[in-house]
Amino acid sequence: MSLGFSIKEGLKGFGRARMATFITITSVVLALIMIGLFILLAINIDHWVGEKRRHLQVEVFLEPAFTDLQAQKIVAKLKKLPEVQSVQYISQQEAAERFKKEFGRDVREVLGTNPLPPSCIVRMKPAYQNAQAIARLSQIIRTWDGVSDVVYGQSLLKIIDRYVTLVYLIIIGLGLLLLVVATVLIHNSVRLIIYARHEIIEIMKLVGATRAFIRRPFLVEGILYGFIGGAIADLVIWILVRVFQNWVYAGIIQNWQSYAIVLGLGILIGFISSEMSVNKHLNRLI
Amino acid sequence: MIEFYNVSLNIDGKKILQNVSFRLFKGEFAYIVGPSGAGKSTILKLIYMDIFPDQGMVIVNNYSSAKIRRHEIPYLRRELGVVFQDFKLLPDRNVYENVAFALRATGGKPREIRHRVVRMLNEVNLSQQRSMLPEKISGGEKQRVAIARAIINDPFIVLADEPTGNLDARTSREIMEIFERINRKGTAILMATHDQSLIEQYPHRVIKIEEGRIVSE
Ligand SMILES: Nc1ncnc2c1ncn2[C@@H]1O[C@H](COP(=O)(O)OP(=O)(O)O)[C@@H](O)[C@H]1O
Ligand SMILES: [Mg+2]
Repeated sequence: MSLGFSIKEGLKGFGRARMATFITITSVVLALIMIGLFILLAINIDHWVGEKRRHLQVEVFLEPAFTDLQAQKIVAKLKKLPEVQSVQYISQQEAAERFKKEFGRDVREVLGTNPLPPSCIVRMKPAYQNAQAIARLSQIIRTWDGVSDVVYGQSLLKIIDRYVTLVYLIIIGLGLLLLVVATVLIHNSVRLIIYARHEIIEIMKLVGATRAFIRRPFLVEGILYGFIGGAIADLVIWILVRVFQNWVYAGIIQNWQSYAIVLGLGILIGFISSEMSVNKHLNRLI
Repeated sequence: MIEFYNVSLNIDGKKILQNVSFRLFKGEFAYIVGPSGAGKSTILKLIYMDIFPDQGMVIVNNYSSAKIRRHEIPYLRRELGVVFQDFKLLPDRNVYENVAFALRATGGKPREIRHRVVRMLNEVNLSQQRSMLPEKISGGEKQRVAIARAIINDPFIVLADEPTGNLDARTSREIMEIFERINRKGTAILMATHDQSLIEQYPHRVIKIEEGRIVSE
């Protein structure tokens, strides 16, 4: 059997019911835009959380009287810990320099002495970039001789850890919901189109066209809806991201995969929904 | 060959057909006659297996209503031609395409399609109107398009459900002449009608049906 016939009939049907076509594509585009923006939101949240985690650091303050040599022992000890990725030693002088850079005044001139203690900035390995691991490690380090205090961004950590799973679940849930909405929309439109074309289906049945043959034009049509809907949605998302970058926040990140996903989902829901409605309604006709 | 063995059919508890039995032989021409609502269209639907009997059996060539599988039905229908009172043409394509549709929808090869469509249009005297849309041609011409479409797959029988129901007497005779010609070439015809004068002008076997029963042969 010729695929040419299916494609030709599919395209013909596509051009024929203009209003139904317009409504279907519009609704698919809207659903896919929302899905696409959700994917971008998810990517950005994920990126943001990752950045925050990566920059998590534990500051270990040493006794002010420590010599560099004594401090180096602590550094070596810290480096041996399995959770630790890197350790940066900041001497008293460096601490003063940093203070000056940050606040514009030299603490040594103001006070006549340097009260800033030497410290170590400890970064965690990725697997330990969470509140629990950091708290546990801090507990241990705090008991060491020569360590006066251990400080880290406790509250932010806790917030991230508490809500991140929830946020992801919400995003996935809403994404799935949107997917279902888009499928129902195409499904509904294909159903309308099938009813509008019951004449041609009836005649195809009469002259002995097989079911597969009768279905194919509708599948072509459904896939076309999904593809066009996906392409338009991608374009709109791209423009929205551009506008957002220019006017609101330049640091928003995006990747081509999210655009491919939107297009792929469009085609997939186009196929699935027309498959479902063709199956359901072919039996009822005539 | 078509055989009805004690066919009964109920729809929503209503008896549509009761114990209908008859045989139709190769190349035969027969009428199914009876008042409207008697069950004429139902009998034709049973033959092209759009519906199935509750009791009894319908046999069409090598297919039996008791055994046929859903995927076999299209192939059964390729051995039949069906024509209706309301023509059932596709309004968006011309005469040629309407006839060609039967071959395209069953996967005919383009070259063969052209060849056979031209021949069919000649057969029903529609060569001049080949590129006209259905809305531009008369009722008689529409029915001729439908007939050309019905016979293009070389069916062994043409089922016609009140094919002259929408046509005046003169046009009806034109259509009947075409059926006669088709029949003379060996194709069986089973025509549902309640036009008594046509039956008198073109006498053939009559199967008379009332309230779902065959009352005389
Ligand atoms: N789909 C259906 N549902 C319910 N009743 C039907 C259906 N099709 C036909 N009938 C009934 O079956 C009877 C026979 O119908 P039909 O075969 O169309 O009669 P005819 O063609 O002789 O006028 C009628 O009483 C009609 O109302
Ligand atoms: Mg009838």
